[in-house]
Amino acid sequence: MSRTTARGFLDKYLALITTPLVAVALVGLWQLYIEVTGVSHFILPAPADVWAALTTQVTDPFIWREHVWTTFIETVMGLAIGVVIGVGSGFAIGKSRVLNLVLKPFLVLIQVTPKVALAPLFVLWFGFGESSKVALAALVCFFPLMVNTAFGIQSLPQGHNDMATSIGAGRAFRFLRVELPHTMAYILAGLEQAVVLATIGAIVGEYLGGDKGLGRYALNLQSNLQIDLLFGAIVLMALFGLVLYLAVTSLKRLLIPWHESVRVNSRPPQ
Amino acid sequence: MTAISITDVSKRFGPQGTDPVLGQINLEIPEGQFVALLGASGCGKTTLLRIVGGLETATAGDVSIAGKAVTSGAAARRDALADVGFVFQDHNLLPWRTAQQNVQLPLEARRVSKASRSETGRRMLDLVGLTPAAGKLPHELSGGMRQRVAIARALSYDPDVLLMDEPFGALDAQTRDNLNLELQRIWLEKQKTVVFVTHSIQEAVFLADRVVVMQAAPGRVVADTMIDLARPRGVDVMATPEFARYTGLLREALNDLAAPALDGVLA
Repeated sequence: MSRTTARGFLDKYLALITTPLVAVALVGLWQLYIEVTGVSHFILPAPADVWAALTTQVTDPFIWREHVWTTFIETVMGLAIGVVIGVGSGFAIGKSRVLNLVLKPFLVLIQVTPKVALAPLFVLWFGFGESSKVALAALVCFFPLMVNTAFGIQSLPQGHNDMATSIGAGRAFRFLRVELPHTMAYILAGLEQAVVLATIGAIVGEYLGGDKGLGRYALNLQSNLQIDLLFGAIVLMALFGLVLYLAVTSLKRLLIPWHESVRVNSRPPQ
Repeated sequence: MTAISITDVSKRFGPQGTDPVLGQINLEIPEGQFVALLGASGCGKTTLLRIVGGLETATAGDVSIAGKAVTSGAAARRDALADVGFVFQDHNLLPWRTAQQNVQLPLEARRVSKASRSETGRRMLDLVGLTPAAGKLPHELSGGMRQRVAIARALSYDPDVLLMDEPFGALDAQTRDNLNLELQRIWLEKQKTVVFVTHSIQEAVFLADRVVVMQAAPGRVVADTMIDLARPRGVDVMATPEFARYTGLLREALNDLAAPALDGVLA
């Protein structure tokens, strides 16, 4: 086997072998730490206990219905609002120099404000129900969408513009056939960050009030000292984030299969 | 009949418009002629071509294509440019569209029916010898193939005038020779008016009926020469004494400050 093919083999399959090995090693260390230090199971439950807790949780329809589903709806609705506002405003400031200059100071101000600090205010404005969580999710996730969209539209190569002019493209045609597809790669990069942020927004919102959702559930488990179940809830949240992230990655494969970030390496004929 | 008429066109850059890029350019190009605009980098040849193609505005002067003014208002410009195709140095293909979809893009902008679009798209790809690559994305094509697709795209709506801005400038010598031969074949078949910007003397003499030589600061025409070589020209024409005579004279015109005297010699 030549050097380069050996390298290709490594790139392709190494992670498939090492990921389970490293995971098993980490769980082993965790178990070892408990054996050696004798730490209380109220502080750090054993891996087997967490596994048992997790299996009861994933087989409990109540948890799916009340908590996972609630957080999912909040996250997705917040994301939807964030996408509409973020992509819309991104196109607006990306295309209009004046709007960009006028709004920039305020956008920077919004960006540097820790958005989760607004959570108590949102509870006050939108109540303890789902709408305050949706609002918080939307607020924390719209920014990367806006910035990426604006950057995408501004990075349209001048050559694409010239080409569109030379073939007599009107404004609508130019937007739909040239600007939007070009920007789609940037919007999806923003969406990759936005799904994670929207999940954080929804869960932090749940910490502050209400009686449903994964964040609320985790808080209840903590106050009941059901730490094995709390660990299980955290694993559920991680899986939750992973599913949303994978959804965006598949969306990328579907919408921008031509883009460098997605396509499999294929070389042009020489 | 005159296909392109350029009258007293000048262009200045800079904040106060103090930086002259083009002096007063006057050029009449008859229908069906293949004209090469030859000059060193920075002589304004690309700027002139972009003004003719409506991609830049002139500071003063008029351009008209088939009698329709390019330099007066957006609506009139679009009307005048409906019959103009542009091929850029960079292929400017859309990376998310296959070769055939790129070729058909101008037809979509013109609201041509879907059936007619794909029929024309296939015909154009066949014309540039790329039928097998119809379903490939630009990044799967070589540099020469991309430029062929760009030519097919510019020809898809059958424009009377083809403006080409150093389309083969970034390609290796052999690919360039092949594409020059191919361009000649297409031109002989379609009889378009072509304005071809290049800095290669060889390419200009090989392709053109007429070579217009420009010099910089400000951009101006210093020689305007007919190339009287029989067509179709093969690569072997480059080894003939006539070819060498033309390239020699043009090289002098490019470098020589006394160039205007050539007008009398060659016209």
